[in-house]
Amino acid sequence: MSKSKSIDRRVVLKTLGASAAAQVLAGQTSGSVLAAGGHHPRVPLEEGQVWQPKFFTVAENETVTVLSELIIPETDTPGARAANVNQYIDFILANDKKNEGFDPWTWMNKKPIQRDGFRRGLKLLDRLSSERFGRRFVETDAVSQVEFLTELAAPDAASSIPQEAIDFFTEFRGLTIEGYYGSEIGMFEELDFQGNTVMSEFEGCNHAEHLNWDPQVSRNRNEEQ
Amino acid sequence: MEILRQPEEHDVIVIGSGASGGMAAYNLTSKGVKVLMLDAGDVFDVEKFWTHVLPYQRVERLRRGDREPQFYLDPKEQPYLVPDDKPFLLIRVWGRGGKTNVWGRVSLRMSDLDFGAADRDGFGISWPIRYADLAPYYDRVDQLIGVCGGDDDSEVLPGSRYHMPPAPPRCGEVFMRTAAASLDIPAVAGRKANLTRDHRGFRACHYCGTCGKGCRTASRFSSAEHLIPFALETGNLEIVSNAVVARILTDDSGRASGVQYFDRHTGNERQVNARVVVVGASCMDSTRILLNSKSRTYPTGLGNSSDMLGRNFSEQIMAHVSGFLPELFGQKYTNDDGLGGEHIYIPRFNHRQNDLDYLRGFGIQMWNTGCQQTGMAAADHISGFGASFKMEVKKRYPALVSLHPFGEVLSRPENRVTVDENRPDRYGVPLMKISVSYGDNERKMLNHMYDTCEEILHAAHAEVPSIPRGQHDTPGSAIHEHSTCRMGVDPKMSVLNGFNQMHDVDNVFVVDGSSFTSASEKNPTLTILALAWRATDYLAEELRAGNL
Repeated sequence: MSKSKSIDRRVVLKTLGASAAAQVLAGQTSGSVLAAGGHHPRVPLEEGQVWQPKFFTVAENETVTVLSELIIPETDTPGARAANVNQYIDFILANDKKNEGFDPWTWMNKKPIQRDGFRRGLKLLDRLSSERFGRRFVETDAVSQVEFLTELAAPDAASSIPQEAIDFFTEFRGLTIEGYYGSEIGMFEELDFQGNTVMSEFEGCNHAEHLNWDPQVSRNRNEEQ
Repeated sequence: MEILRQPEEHDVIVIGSGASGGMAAYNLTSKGVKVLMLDAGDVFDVEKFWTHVLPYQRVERLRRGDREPQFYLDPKEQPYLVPDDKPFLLIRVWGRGGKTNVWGRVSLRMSDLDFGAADRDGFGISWPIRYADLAPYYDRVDQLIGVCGGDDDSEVLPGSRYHMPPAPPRCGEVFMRTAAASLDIPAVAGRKANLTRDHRGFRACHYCGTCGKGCRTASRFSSAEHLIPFALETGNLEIVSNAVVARILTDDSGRASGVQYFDRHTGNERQVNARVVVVGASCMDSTRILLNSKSRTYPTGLGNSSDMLGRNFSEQIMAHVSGFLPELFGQKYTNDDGLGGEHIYIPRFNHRQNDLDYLRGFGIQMWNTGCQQTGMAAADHISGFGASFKMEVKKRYPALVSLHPFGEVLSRPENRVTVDENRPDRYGVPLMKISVSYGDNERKMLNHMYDTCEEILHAAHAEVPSIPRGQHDTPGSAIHEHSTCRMGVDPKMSVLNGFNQMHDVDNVFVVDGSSFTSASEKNPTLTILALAWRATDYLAEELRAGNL
């Protein structure tokens, strides 16, 4: 699959029909036709305005931003802060879902995010931070923050951290992952997502070393090393 | 309440517009039969599908106030009841085409191992038909709807001469195929109702992989696009949308005379008449309609003299195991969208073993391999946080493989659907109550499912973060509900005969998944289409001969 067969404009028009294709082509970027916002041209959401949280207070938003950036920090690629993961989490908590398609799997299998519980979790984080470090979480130094999160992420039996804080961190981490890897930065700057394009053929794997892979030879080689 | 009667009599009323109802209407109208189709919802607007919308674009649209397509029926509108200790996920799509708008497209032929299972192991009853009865219809369905697949043919999974070329496997699937083969478990090309070639005026698949959001080009089978427009073209089909069917009406002789329905929006009652009623509202809703069709002649529901109506529910138990292939760590990312879902399939293999401690079998699907999803698919299986976590996700993203075994749930009389007279819906029609739980056979099979997944992943040298042994999806999650209106030779043990015709009432046919005598491990839609075609061939001939 080293070479994706991207389709020319003519085929796109025939495939999608004129109106849909016009939308697609209006935003066409290099090679990938539908990706990178190409399918639906991006519209600035709050033109000329600074984003304001709808659910979080200013202080809570600060904690959410710092916490998400600790979970997925800027490295050689942007992190959660640059990907506006705080805005994503704010949206998830503020959204009344009336425009969303009903999702039976979420309805059945996931307990809905409790807004009160989320707020309590943020408060609990600050309280535990104050007990340990004498400061709110965001005011604590980075080394202490990481040390604290390490315990939250993988508490040992002797840990004094309450279960509610561990559950909150698990939920927060999940939302951060969802927000970051579903963002334009997470998909295209961090992971270089190749999909969501129009292709005339799907070639599949054409790596000789994959197609000729011998599990036994590979195992022996690994054991020798 | 305003009651309007529509005096015109149609030849046939078809309840439902999905795979079964769509096929019934398609076949009957092509033979000149006048059909009235009652559909519980609206037409879904293809132009408004969010097919190519990436996750962040979806959030942007929702923030702007755009409305996402509403495929799934919200139980707030139509609840279903379950006992507190028996959760059940009932997924319903009310609207033109039903669940075929969003289905998984896996298209597998059942075999005589399935149709004759009860004859071999003694559990339940045998199907009244065999593969030879259905094979010509499988052939016709493959040619009509377009199914891609390989040239494999086995006693478990009969082959087809009419497959379109399959989509070749992705890197991860190549390793899994080799690993399974090293355990003497063959994997075959995935069989899917995706068009890999232009067909009947529909464009070939463009491999964006997001079929589950509805396809903008109808490059996969859906009843709404591949059957119903052709039926309308004959001039013999009339469709009433938003017609929520409550009951089948019977006359003094005990035969069906028509159907009572309620307008979904106004709640107004209507009655329509026909010589024959074909029920294809999907398993659970069809069963509810029949149970609610009570009369002096049929005090426990229409076609229920056997007490089998609503009983014997069957389906498939599902589990999921993921791993990462070290051979693919850090590989340059590829476009793995393809057909959406897997390009290889592991058919049932346990029929060759004679040391099993359970009955029946399972097959394994492999959706979500490699870079088909966002990084979340990989990140969900990686613990920790910080720069190292981010690096691990990046390295493992192309290396993700997932196994999803589907195993047959035995058809047991106590797993059943009933209706609760004290709990009516918004139209005053009793709600369905679903009581389903898994038993010892399912638990033992589940153990074997996990063992097999672990062995295959081990043979692939995969890193396996966790094996959630003992866990399975909530019953109903496979969306393959069956057997509550089953076919059988003996009218005392079944509701329908071998042509999906009611034993008790000869002018009622039930053509959806509820008619399956047993579930098998296979995805059912191809078989539903073949059964509905065969049943309506018989129906049309009986009409012509003046027997109905």
